[in-house]
Amino acid sequence: MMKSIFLAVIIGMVAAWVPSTAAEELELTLGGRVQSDLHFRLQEKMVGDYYAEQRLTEGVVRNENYLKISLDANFGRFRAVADVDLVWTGMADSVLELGALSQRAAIDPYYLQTHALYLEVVDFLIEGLDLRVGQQLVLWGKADQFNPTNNLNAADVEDVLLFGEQIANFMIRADWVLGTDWTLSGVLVPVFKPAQLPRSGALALAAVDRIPFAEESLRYRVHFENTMTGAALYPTAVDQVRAHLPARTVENMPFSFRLAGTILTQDVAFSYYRGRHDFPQPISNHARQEVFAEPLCRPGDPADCIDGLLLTDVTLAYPRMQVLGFNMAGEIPLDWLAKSMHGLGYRLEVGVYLPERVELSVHQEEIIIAGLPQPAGEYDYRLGSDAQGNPIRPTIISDSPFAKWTLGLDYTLGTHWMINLMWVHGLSDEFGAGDFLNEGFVVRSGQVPLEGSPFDCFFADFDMSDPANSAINAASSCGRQNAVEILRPSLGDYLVLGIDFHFADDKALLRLFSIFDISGTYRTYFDAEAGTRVRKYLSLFGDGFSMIVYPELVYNFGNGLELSAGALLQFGKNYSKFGDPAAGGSLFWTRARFYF
Amino acid sequence: MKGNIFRGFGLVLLCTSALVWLAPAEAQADEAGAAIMAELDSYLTEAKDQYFVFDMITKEPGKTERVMKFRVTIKGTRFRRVEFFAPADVRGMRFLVRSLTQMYVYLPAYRRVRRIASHVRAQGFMGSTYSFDEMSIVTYGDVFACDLASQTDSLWTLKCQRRPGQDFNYSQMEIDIRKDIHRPAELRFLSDKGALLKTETRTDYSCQEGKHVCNPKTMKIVDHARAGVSTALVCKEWKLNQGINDRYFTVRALQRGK
Repeated sequence: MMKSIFLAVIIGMVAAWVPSTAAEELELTLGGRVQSDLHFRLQEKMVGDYYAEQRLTEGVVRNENYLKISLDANFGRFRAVADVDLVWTGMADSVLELGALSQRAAIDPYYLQTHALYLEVVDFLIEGLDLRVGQQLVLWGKADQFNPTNNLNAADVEDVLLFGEQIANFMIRADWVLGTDWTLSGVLVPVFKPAQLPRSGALALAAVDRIPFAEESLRYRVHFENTMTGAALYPTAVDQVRAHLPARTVENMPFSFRLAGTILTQDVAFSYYRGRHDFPQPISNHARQEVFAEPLCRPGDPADCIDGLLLTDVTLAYPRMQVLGFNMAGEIPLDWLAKSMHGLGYRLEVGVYLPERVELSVHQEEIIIAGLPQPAGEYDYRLGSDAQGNPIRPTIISDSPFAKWTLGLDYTLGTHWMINLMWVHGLSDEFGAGDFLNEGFVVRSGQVPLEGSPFDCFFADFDMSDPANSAINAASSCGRQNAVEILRPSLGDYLVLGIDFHFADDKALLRLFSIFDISGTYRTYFDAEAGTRVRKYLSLFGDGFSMIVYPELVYNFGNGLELSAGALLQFGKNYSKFGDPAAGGSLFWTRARFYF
Repeated sequence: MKGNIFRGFGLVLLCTSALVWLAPAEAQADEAGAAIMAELDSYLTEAKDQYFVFDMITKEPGKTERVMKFRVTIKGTRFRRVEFFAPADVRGMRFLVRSLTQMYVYLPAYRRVRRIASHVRAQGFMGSTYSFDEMSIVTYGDVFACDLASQTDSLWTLKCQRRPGQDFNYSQMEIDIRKDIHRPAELRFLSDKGALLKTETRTDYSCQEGKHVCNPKTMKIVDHARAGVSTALVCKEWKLNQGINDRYFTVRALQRGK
C-alpha cells in the first residue's frame, strides 16, 4: 500500500513534467547564518532521594554553535528546498572513557538537524494543485506559538527557549488553491515521529509519587504501598524507560485535511487530523526487587539506609487521537471608540480532541516486603472486570473528548509598544480530559505523611485468615485516610502576556514575555471530622503560584549582525507546572547571530 | 523576529496607496486645486499591475548608511506583495496586503504566515524617516482638500488641509506638482501650527504608455525633527502590466514564496 502511494506520487511528478520554455532558467538562492548560544542555569534543581537522585547543576547548560544553510532552487514550476542546521554542542559528556578522549566526535560532539529537504511542483497535473514531497514542516494554526490544531509535526521542546518549535518530518502534501480565497490541503505522514523532550525531562522519572492513574482509590492505595515499601527499606525507583514507536504500517500513518479561506475578511480554517499524540504516555510498568549485598546509606548519615530497591521498568507509547480543528483570525474595528484607533488583532484556535483510551498494566516479579511475599504476576487493581471477565486496568487517558484552545489579542500603543495577550487552554504536553469545564486531574505530588510507622495502620485491622485480600483492603483504607495529593487539571489554563518595546530607531527590541498558570492547584486529604476526603484550593498567589517571566533584549547592528541576551525565570513550587525541576530551572542566556 | 514584522510592514503600505480609499468627505478645495488632484489620482491608479525593486537607504550623520532591498508587486487597487531580499537578517520576509484590514506577513524564522491587524500602522518603520501614513498615501484627493496656491511654468503648488474625519498624521500638506507629467515633485508635511515636519522629494521620473504611468527613480524624505536624517527609496527595476495572476496574492503563495 505504502509503495503504491509513493509510486503514484512519483508517476504523477513525472507526468507533471513539461518542457520548460526558453525563458525559464534555474534560480538558486543560498543563505544561512552562524549562531552562538550560551545558556546558564541560575540555580540547582534536584529531585528524588539519595538512592535515585536526579540533579541539574547550576552553570553552563548550553554552549552551542550553529551553522545554518538554506538553499532554494527553482526551475519554472519545480523547486527544491533545503534548510539544514549543523550544530556543535560544545560540551563533551562529563565522564569520558580513555578511548573516547582520542575521538574528535566525543570531545567535540555535533549533530545535524534538517528543517526542510523537499521537492515541490506547482500546478501539478491541474492548475492550482501544488505537491510537496520530502522532509518538511506543515505549520497550521493561526495562534502565536500555542497551536492545538498543529498536529502533523512533532513538538521540539529540547530547547525550552524555542517555544513552539517543531521537528520536520517526511510528508506528502497537496494544496489545491480554489480561487484566491480558499485552499484545500491534504497531508500524509508515512512514518510517525515523536516529540523531542527537554534535556531536563529525565528528572520527571524520579518523581515516582506522580502516579498517573485516573482512579483515585487505586492511587491512594499505591501511595500507601510505596510508603510501606520505603519504610521496609525498599523504596521505589524508576529504572528503565522505553518508548515504543508505532509500527510502520499504513494504518499508523498520520494524515490531515484542511480547508482554509476567508469569510467577510476574517480568516477561517477547518481541519481534521488522525494520528497520534507526540508526547508519550505510560502503558505498562514492570516492578522487580533488587536486594543490595550491603545496605546503601545516605551520604553522611549511616543510620539512614536502605536494603534494596523496588525497580520499575516503564513502557511508553503514543496514544491515537483524532483532532477536529477550527481557526479564525482577523481584526476587530475600534474606530467606534475613537476615530484614530486602528483594528484590534485577534486569533482563535480550537482543537477538539478525540483520544483513544490508554490503560496501564502493572506486573511484578515476586517481591518480599517485611516478610510478606507478593507473588509474581499482574497487580490486583480491584477495579472490577469487563464483560469477558478480564480485569479492568487503570486509566491513564480516558476516551472522553476534550478541547484545547488559544485566544489571542494584539495591539500597538504609540509607535514603540506592542502588546500580545493570550488565553491558552492546554499546552502541547497536556493531554486528556480534565479542566474547568469537565473535572479531571493529574497528580503533581503524593505522599503519606504518618507520624508513626505505616505498618501500624496496615496491621490495625489485618485479617490473618485472608492475608491477600486483607493486605489490599488495609492498604486501600490506610491510603484513603492518609494520602495527601497535590492535583491540577489535566489541561491547564495560562494567561500569556507579551510586551514589545522598540527603540533606538527600531534597532533595539526589549521584550517581556510571561506565562501565568491560572489552572488552579488543589491539595486533597482525608478530613477526619468530616469523615471523607476533601479538596482544598491553593491560592494562585500562594502555594499554587506558577509563572514564567522571559525578558529579552535584542540589538540589530545592521548588515546581518544581531546580539541578544535574556533570562527565562521559572517560579513555583516543585509540584507546579513551571517550578517543576523537570522544566529545567531558571536560565540566563546570550545569543549572537550573523545572517549571510 | 516579530520586531521585524512591524518594521517591515511600512513597506507594504508604501505601495498600498490606492487601498486608502476612504469615504468621501465634504469638499473644501477650490475648483482648480480639486481638478489638479483628481487628475493626479486618476494617473496613480491607472496601471493593471506593476513590479518594482527598491533600495531603501537611511542616512544618519556620522553613521554608516543602512540599506534594505525589496521587491514590490502591485495588482489593481487591492493586491500587494512585498518581499525582502537584503540584508540577510530580513531576507525571506514577505508581506501580503489584500486590503487594509486583511494583511499577512511570512516570518522565515518561524516558517509561517501570520495575519496582522491594521494597528501596526501606528508603529515606527525600520528606523527610517518614513512613517506608515505618509508611505500609504499616494492618492490624495480623498484625504486632503487642496487649493491652488501658486504656479510657475513648470509647477503647480497646492496648499492642502486634511479633510474632516481622515486618519492621517499631518493636518496640512503642501505639494508641488510637475506640469509636464502631472506628478508630485515635492511634498511638505506640516503640523497644525504650520511647522514643517517632513519634506519628501520625488525625482528622475520615467514614464510608460505616454504619461499615463510614471514613477520616480528616487523618493527621499527628510525628517526635520531628526536633524540630518533622511531615507531614500531608489527604484532599481520597474515592470508594468505583466499579467500577474491573482493566485500570486494568496496566503498559500505567500507561504510558498512563489
